[in-house]
Amino acid sequence: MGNLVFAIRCADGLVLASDTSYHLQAEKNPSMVKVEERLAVLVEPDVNFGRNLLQSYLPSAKKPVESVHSLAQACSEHCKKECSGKEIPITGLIFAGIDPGEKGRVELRGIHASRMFDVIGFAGNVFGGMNSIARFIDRKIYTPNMTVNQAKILAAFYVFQSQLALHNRLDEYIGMATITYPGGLQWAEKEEMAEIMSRVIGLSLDLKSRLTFLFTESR
Amino acid sequence: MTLALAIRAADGLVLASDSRVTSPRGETRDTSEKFLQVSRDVGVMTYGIAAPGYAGITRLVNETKINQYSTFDQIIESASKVFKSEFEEWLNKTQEIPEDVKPRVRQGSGSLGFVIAGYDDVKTKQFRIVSYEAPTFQIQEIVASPIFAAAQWHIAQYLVEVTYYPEISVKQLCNLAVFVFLETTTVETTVGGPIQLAIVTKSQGYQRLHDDDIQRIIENVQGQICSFRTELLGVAKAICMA
Repeated sequence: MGNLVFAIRCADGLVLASDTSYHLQAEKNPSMVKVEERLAVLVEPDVNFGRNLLQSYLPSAKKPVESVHSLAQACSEHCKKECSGKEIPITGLIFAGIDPGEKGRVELRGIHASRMFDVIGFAGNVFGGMNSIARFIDRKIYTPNMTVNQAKILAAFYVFQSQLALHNRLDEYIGMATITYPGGLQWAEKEEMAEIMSRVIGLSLDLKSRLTFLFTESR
Repeated sequence: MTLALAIRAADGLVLASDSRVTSPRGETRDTSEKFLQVSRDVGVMTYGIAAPGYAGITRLVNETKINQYSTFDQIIESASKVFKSEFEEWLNKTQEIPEDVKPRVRQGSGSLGFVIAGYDDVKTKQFRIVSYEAPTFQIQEIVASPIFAAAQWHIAQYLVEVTYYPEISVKQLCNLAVFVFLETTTVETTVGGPIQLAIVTKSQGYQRLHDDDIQRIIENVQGQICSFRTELLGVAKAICMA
């Protein structure tokens, strides 16, 4: 089983999505970890290893988090120390949130085993795990003007389209959360996800019906 | 990495590959020859590590000629041994990979693969696609799916999933294959260079398409590329209008 996680920037916040959500509850969604009111970490693709790595750091961090970057920097140092000289699975952490004191500017940072856990900043959206299809569609249709409610449908569309081709490698569920300045981190509840999915299935069927005729003799 | 595709049409098969090779140091070049004709109706393609891949397909062609294999089954059975022995030989000799990493390459999957595709005019009377992957190189016949895509295959699999229909002709499938390559290269930097394309039909057997023909297909599919993007943008528009 693979995993897919990503964070989409919106006009009024961030949408976080993953394919691994067992009950759409914060503590049971293994790919997303809530750290503070407006800060979450996405884990990919070796979720258990990455999550344990993160959780081995968090309890020892006594100070409140100053910024998304400072958390990423501290985790980076922790991971470098913990993993030094060891053979470790491919894993990465994406830090997403709004800095305390900032009223709307979202910050995205990442660390990855393949890059020696150095902190990387992202200007656009961030994708982790088995992300080629989601990234491919994002490059074609993403617009930063979307609101978080619109981007939730877009995110579910990315995951659903990825599942079409990678159905035996991705989880069949979709987990989602938003981070906005007034609302903080909010998990998408079961009823809301059902509504989003019915919309996404409609959009996907419509797209499929039009694309099936892309390569016919008449064109 | 690379992208290797074998897709079944109603009246034949299409084999396609890019020509980019990426070295262990990350340097790329676009000159690799990734497939060859084995017999009148059969072609072979490789992906992954270039040196043992090319050695494997060349040796299969030679052994087929020397031993006068005439059936699809004879070719695919001998191929398994050929690919395994070429991989082992290369791994023992190569200095590209440090000695301590070699056991991991020997055990790991996906570092080297092969695809044999063609028409079986003796046993099944069908177009068949068979794949082999390191380290075992066991025969894997692709039966349930119309497509076999390897290496950087995710986007290709997705695009075929949304555009393929079983009645598609070889001619249209060539267009679809080129479309898939062009779209994949917009995101995956390890896929690129000139596209290599071959078809297998019952009447003509294996035919390699010339660069000029592929260039014409590239020009022909520009309309489909625009339509595809327009359709996807329609999704974004529908989301924003809600």
